[in-house]
Amino acid sequence: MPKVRNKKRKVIDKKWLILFVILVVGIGIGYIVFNKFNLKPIYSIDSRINNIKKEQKKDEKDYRTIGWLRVQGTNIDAPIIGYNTRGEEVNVTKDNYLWNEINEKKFYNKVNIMGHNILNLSSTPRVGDVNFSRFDDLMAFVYTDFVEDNKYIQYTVDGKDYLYKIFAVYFDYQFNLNLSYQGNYSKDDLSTYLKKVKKKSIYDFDVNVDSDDKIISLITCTRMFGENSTYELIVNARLVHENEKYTNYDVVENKNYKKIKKILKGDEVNDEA
Amino acid sequence: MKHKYRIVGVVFLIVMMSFFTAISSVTAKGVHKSLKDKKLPACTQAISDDLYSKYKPVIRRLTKKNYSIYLDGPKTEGAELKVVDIVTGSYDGNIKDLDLITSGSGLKIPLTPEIDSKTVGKKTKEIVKVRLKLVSNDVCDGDIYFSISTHNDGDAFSKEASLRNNTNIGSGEACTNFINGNYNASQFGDTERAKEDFKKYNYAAVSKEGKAFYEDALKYCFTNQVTYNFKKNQINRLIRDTIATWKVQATADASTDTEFDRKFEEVKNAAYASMSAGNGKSVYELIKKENLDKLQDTSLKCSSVVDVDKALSQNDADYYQNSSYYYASSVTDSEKVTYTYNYAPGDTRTVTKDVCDQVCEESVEVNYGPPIASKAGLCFEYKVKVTSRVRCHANVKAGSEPDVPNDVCTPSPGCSNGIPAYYHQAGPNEDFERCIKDCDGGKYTASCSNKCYNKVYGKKSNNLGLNYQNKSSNASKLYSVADCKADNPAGCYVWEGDSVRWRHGTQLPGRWYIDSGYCGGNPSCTFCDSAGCGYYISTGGNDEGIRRQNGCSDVCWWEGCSKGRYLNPGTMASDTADNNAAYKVAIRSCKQKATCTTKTATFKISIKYDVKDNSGKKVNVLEFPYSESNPSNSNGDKIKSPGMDGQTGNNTTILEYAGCYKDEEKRRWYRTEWSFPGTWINNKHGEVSYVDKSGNKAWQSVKDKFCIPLDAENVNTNWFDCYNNYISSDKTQADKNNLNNCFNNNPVSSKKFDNRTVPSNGYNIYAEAKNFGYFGWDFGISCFYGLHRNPTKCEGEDCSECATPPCEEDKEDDTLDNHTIRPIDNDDIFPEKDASVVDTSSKAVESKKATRLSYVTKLTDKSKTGRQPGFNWSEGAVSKVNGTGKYKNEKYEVDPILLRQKIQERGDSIYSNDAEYLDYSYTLSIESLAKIKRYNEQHSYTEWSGSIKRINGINAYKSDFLDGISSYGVKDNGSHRSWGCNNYRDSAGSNCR
Repeated sequence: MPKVRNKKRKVIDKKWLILFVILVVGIGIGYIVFNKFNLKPIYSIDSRINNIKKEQKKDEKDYRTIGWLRVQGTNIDAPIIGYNTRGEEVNVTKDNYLWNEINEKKFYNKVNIMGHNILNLSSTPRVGDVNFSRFDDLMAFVYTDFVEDNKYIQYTVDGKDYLYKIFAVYFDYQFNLNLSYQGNYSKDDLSTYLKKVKKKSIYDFDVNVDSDDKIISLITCTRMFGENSTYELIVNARLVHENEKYTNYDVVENKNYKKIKKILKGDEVNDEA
Repeated sequence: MKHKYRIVGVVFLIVMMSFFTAISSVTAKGVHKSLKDKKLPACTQAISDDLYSKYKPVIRRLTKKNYSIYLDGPKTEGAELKVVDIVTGSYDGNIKDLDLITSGSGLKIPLTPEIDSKTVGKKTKEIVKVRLKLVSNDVCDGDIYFSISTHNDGDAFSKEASLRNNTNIGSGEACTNFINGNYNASQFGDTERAKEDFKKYNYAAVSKEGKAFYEDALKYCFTNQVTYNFKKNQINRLIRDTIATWKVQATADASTDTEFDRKFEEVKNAAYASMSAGNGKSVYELIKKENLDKLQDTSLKCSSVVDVDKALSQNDADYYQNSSYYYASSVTDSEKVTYTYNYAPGDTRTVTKDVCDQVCEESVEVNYGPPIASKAGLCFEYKVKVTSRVRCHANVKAGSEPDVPNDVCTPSPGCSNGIPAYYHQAGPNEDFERCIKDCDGGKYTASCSNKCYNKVYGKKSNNLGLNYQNKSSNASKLYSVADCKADNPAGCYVWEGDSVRWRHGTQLPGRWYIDSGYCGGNPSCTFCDSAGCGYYISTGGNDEGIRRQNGCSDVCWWEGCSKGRYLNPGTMASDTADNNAAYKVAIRSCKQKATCTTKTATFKISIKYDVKDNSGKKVNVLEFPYSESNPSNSNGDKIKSPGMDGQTGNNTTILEYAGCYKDEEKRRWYRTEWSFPGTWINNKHGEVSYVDKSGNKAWQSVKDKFCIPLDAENVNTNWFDCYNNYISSDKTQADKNNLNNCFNNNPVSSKKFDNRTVPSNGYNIYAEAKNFGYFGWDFGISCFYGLHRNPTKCEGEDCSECATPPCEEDKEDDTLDNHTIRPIDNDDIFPEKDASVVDTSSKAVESKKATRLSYVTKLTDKSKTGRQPGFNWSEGAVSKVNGTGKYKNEKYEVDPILLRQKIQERGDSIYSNDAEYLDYSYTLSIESLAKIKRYNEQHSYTEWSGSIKRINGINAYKSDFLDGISSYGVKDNGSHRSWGCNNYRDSAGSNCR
């Protein structure tokens, strides 16, 4: 009997051991899956609706506050203004602001937000400088390790906060951006734009995007390609789909990034992009 | 066993982790592959090379180097354009890597032509031809050719026609006349001076150096090919200005004023010698502007060793026995000139440049008189004279000439269907870019970015302007469209905000259509865009002057030129003429002598003396020009070029001013001489006053002198005795030696003038000049007067010292034989300088035939003094002794002041038959007159035979001749005369009038 009891006891011990192993493995798998498959939210919306209302009280004759923008991982957290006066020089009495050439408070399927970059124009942009404001910090998106961790843009307009997932980062001339496009883009135009963007992007993001999506483009100036070049950095994102989680997703450098990498290393600085 | 299972579990865990990691990696690669580029379809067919009408291509210049080609034709879905060839010139190869943009409004193709290094700076013109293929659904729709007309100036490309190498059509007769020396009044000025200048300084008349100067300064007259043509009046002005400039230069080189320079050098050398001798205040070399107020020497002192002979001389040159010398040089303010560049109405900028530095030097000579030996009640002058001479040399600064614009930018038309010309820029402005360039060469480092941000935008971010394009600083609205059209009759390109507009004059289309040769340069072409001639032209609004085919359906604008470039050739010529004229004026100003200073110089002179009062000595300090309300503190006399600044007249200390102070044209020197303004003396009681008493007959003026009050105390007596003893000597060489020894052995106190105390010896006169001359020197000169009254005897021809103690008792004194007896004018007993006087002293030239009239000689030498009332004719004779309450002459019968007044009131009428004033009455017969005549023939007029008696404190003369006149047959009718009284009311002699 004692032997039987001992044998029985061993069987029980084995079961506990197996159960324990399975439990540990399960937890491990869960952890890996949770992290490796980007199931963990990396962004949470912090509404800027009230911020817009406060900022609107400071508006002046030549401009008005029409929205708000936050960019993950940067200090970009600023009102968006629209200009009531065009074609003339206007001083904006806000310390930190961005603008939309389309002076509308409505939500469109293609939004272009511009902002000044004055302090971060060099071919080796800095990240997170305390002096940065407006879009100075947008240049952080030329660094892969930064992009790997930061992929969300929060756009507040018309009384609602919208969240976008970045799907392309590229450089182009301003005159190619068609910043005065009025109203919603047609599917054709949006499709054409997306095609160009995907081709010119310096990263490949694991994000599906098509002409049915709502797009936002953040645009700022850079001199990464030389002091005489007038290229813009454009960060593109699409609106998060319904039920889509705010999790991380993959991004890799593509062939376009080689030139960027050279410039960042200081191997190449010229006026060409 | 238990351990075995544990190992198995760990291995399993590791395997699982590796598995998931591998899966993760594969997934990422899969995504990457799925996003690979898709190649553009190959072009397989070329259809046509004439698709302009279909695609309406427009070339638009975006920045200096960047162009876009817009295609407005029908867009086929999936259509793509590809640059396939550059026929001529070069272009940015990366264009191929850029996508061709398709949108609802058309297609855009960016082009960036490159500069050909071989032609950099040569400003050559070149054409870049671009051929495109339109690919639609993998089928080539056709080829489209574009031409971009550029010129290569090493930096910017523009597609306007150049204005270079125009034939000089403006110089013509104007230049020919100048070169050949043919005077033309309407061209060169119709004044005699202009005519003389032209004859002397025209191109044909000047030296080789002058010709070289003209050929450089007036290139326009010596060049066949010019960048732009001047108008006739502009050329005339250029020539006149250039002639004036050469005149100044030639004159400056030749104008050596030998005497001026000799004197300048003499004073300068004396200053250096003084410096070497230990006067550290004599020389100041290249003194900085901020240190000019340190040019001063306020410790000058006159020498107590005096050349008395010279001091007594009437020669002004002998007067100044003391001199001090100074020299200073300094770099003065640069001559500045402001150039105006009216690039276009709405874009006027000014630039101020330093044209030249002037190194100016000034030598200064300070002359001042010797000390004075004076007497109470007497008057003296003390003169100081400061003279400065100025020389300036100009150094013209390199690069100070105005910019010579050689390029006019002609804006070109651009059109599109609703594509806006500009967006707000997201980058820095031009000022920031320039700052960065200067700071780190364009690297945009953090430190330079922050520095430039603060510099350009300020620390407050709200200074960050919205629109950075072509921000114009110093913009001026002064150059109007009307002004511009006056310079450019065909019409003007103007800036309105950041947009260029054409404002037509005689020519409706913008100048580009002519200059570019577009459409054959045919301005009458009714339509002209890249497709050729058309029919519509706007004559108003933002797109005035642009030819369009479709009327209002296109959005058109003028583009291609930035601010800071001339848009209109006539304006460029006008500005060039104006700026050249301004430059030449500045150069002339540089080369001319130094202008007169604008500084105001101040002059004063002070004196101090003491008198005894009940409390002892009292210090009196008087500062001139005199102020009754504040006698010891004067604001001074002020002089600035050209003339006195403020008071003139009797109260001024200024004797003379000259040079710049007199005449602004006398630019090279300054001089001022000053002394005491003068004193007023009361005829009645001898009181002195420094307040103007003009018009009051009770007062008489002693100009330019200070009169010592009668009660002034002795001062510098030892020095005075030296001086006075020499005067009384025979003035032999031995006496002169004794004099100098005496001066040396009896020095005055070395302490300079201090108005707080009156030492028994020391400096009691102080003259000062402030802000004098070109640099504004300060000088202070201390000197003194000496006074030693002999209290025991009455002396001097005026016997003015017979005051303290009271005079001796009456007695006859026949030893007194040195008298001055003056026949007087009853209307003016004591005339001033230019009046008639008679010297009847014993030293006077005697003449037996002298008559009263012959003694009355009109003085023409105004430097001689007039007749001053002596003691017996002054209040001094009857005033009280200070502090005693006693009269000086208690028995004095006459009020001398009243008597003078009475006499003058009556004048010669006193000789009338009115017996009231009759002193003497004689009846003359023919016989008696004959006897008297014979007496006169035997005696001279000055052969006094009477007796003198001191009576009532004064000396009185009694004529023996009159006492014995009856012996000449003259009947004496009785008199009212007596010793010590001129006129008694009665013969008893008890009631003196």
